[in-house]
Amino acid sequence: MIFLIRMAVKNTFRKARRSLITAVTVLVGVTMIIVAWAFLDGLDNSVIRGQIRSDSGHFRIATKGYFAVEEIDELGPLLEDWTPLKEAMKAESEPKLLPRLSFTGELSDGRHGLTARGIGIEPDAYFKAFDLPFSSELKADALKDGVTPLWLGAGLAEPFGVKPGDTLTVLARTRYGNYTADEYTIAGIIQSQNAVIDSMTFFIPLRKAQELLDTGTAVTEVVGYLSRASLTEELPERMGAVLGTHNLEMQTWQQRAAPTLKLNAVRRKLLSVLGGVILLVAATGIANTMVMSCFERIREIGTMRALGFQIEHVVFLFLMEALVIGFLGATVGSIIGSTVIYNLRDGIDICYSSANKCLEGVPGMALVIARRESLERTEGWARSLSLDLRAQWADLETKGEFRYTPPIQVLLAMSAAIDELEIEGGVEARGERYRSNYRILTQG
Amino acid sequence: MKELGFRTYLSPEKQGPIITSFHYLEHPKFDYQDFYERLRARDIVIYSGKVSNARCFRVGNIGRIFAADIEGLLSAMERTLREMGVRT
Repeated sequence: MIFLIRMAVKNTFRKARRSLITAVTVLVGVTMIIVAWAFLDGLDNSVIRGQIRSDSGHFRIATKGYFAVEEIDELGPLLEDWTPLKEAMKAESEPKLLPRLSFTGELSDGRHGLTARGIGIEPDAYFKAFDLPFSSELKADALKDGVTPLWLGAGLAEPFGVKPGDTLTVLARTRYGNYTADEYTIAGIIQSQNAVIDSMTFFIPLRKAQELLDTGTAVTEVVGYLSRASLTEELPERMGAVLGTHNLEMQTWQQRAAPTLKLNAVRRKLLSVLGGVILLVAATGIANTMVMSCFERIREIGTMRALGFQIEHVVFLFLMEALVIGFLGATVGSIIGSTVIYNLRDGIDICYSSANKCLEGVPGMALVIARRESLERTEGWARSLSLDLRAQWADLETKGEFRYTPPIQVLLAMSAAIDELEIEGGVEARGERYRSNYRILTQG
Repeated sequence: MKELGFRTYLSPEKQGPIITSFHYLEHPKFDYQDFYERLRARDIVIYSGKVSNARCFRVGNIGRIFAADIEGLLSAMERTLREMGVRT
C-alpha cells in the first residue's frame, strides 16, 4: 500500500509541468471561493455593526404599528409616556434605554432646502452610547446660552457648505399637521461608518424636538442597548407581557437586519453554485490529465499487469495520483486565500500600553484600545475572576464602577500625568523634548 | 556620548529617540561593573544589558528628564571615565 502511494507521488511529478498546471486550476478556484466567502461574511458583519453601533441599537420599542409606517409617515403613532417601560426594564440585565423622536424635516440655509431625517435625542447619553464620531465639532463652552445645538451627517453638511458654529433652520410639521420652524447652531459634523447617518440624518436635543413638533413628552421610539448582543434573542419573549399591556412592539437588531442578511444569503447561495462550477472545472482538468497519463502509460500498465499487479492496484495508483494533484492545489489555494483575507482585514484588534512610559504615569495600570467586537468576543476567556478585561469594561459601561477595589492612587497619578502632558503642550511637545534629550545624549 | 567615545548599538537611521543602547568602550581600563557602580555613587543609574548578544548598556530619554539632566549625566560619565583612567 505504502509502496503504491509512493509510486503515485513519483508518477505525479513525471510530467511535473502538466501536473502543476492542473494543480494551479484547483488552487485558483479554492482561493477565489475562500476570498469571496470571507468578503460576504465581512459584509454581514459591517451591516450588523453599522446598525447596532450607530443607528438602532440592539432593540427598539415603539407603539404598535409604528415600525410598519415609520418610513412613510412624517410622524408615526407616538409613544406618549415611556417611563413605565423604564420601570419594567429595570429587572432586565440593565439595558441602556435611549428615547428618540424621529421625524422628517427640511434643513434650510435660507436659499436651499434638503429633506432629511431628524432625530431628537438626549445628546450626552446618546453620543456616549453610539459610535458617531465627529469630524469637527464646537468646543463645549463655545455654545452660547439660548442657542440650540444641531449635529448633522457630513453628507448633509457638504451641500450647504456649513461648519460648526453656522446656523441652519429646520422646517417640519407638528403632530397636529401645522408647519413649524426653528433655528439651530451646528455643534458637530458626524462622519460615521453608516451611510444613512452620514447622508441624511441630523440630531437635535430631544426636548427641543418635542417643542418643535408639539409632542409634549411623547417620543417615537426607545432604543435599547444590552451588555451582550446575544441577550437580545430572548428579550422579546420575556418582555412580551410588558409590551402587551402598554400596546407596544419591539424590533430586535436581527429583525431589522433581516432584509440585508437575506440578500447576503442569496449571494451566498449564488457563490456556492459558482464555487461548485469552478471546482467541477478543476475536477475535469484533473480527470483530463489522468486520462492523458493512462494513454501514455498503456505499455507500462501492461508490464505491471504481467508482473502480477491487480486491476484494483493500477486503478488505485491513478486515483492516488489525482488525489495528490487535487490536494496540492487545495492546500496551496487555502494558504493563499487565508493570507489574502488576513492581509485585507483592517488594522489592529487590540492594543495595550502601560501608563508609565511616555505618559509618565506610575506603573500599575494599562491602557487598552480595542475593537468593540474583538473585546466582546473574549467573554468568558479570562481565567482570573478579577483580571477580566471584558467584564471590567462591561461594568464600567453599565455601572460606571470598578468591579473590585479600584486602584485609586494609580488612577489619581494617571490623572495628574495627563494634566502634566497637557501643560507640557501635548504629545508633540513631549516628543520634541525626548528628541532633544536624544540629540544631546548622542552628540554630547 | 560620541565625544566620550561611546558608539550606539543601532545606526542613526534605525535609532528612535526613546531609549538608546551603547556599546561598552573598547579600552583595557574600562570595566562595565565598575563604571556602573561609580555612576551609581553619583546618583545616576544606567540600564544594564537587555540586548542579549551584545556588550551594551542603555540610556533612556523618557520620563521627567530634561536637557539639564542629560548634560549632568554626560559630565558625570566624563568624570567617572577620568577616575577610571579611561580618559586622560
